[in-house]
Amino acid sequence: MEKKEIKSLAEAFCAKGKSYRKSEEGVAEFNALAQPVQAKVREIVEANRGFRRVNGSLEFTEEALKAQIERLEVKKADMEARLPVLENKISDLKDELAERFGDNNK
Amino acid sequence: MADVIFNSFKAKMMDGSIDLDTDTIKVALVTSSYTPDQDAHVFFSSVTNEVSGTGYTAGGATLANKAVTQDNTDNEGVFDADDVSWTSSTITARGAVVYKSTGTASTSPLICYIDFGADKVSTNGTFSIQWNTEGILNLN
Repeated sequence: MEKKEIKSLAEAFCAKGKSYRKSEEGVAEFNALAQPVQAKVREIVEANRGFRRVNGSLEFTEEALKAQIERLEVKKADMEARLPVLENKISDLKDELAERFGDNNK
Repeated sequence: MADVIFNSFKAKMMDGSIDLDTDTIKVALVTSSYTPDQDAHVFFSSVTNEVSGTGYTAGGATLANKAVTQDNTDNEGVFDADDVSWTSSTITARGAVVYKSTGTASTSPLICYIDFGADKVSTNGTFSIQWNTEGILNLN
């Protein structure tokens, strides 16, 4: 099968949308596609998430790597800010437990 | 048996007690004798009939290169990782259990069960899991 044909078949399958891809009919059609076409479909779908798979390993694009780092930096700061909120929430719940049920486990 | 996302995972994902970025996520193989219980199976200690065989270590393999990504084309969030393989193995497995490993089965929360649809076998060869094109987990 020529590269052009593989690409064309993969793009045609992807163009049917994710609902179809995930449907019973779509899964059956995917499984019936030739191996190189399946690989191309995977490449197209995974490219939308910023990576490709090389010998089974994810390989991010430069842009996606930067985005991941930025996302995790924000998450780190967010996690630090959450600790006192979490402590307050636990404290509030313990207060309520003691108030309503007389629990002395505070 | 179909694929299962354990209910406890849904709650734990919402309250942040499972963090797919930072937690150790493992995949274990099970035989056809394991029947996942979406409601009652919460920790890895509930999982029975894990495979045993040459080249396979109890508890399974750790997912490498985990990725939580946003897909704006398909409007979804996706959890994915490198494909997993057990080389030089002799294994018969019907499914895989993905879970957060704390190092102790009774405190390691379950995430999902993936049904292979039939027994898959390796005989002194490589047993591989090639994750679905849609990712290991997909929220849309």
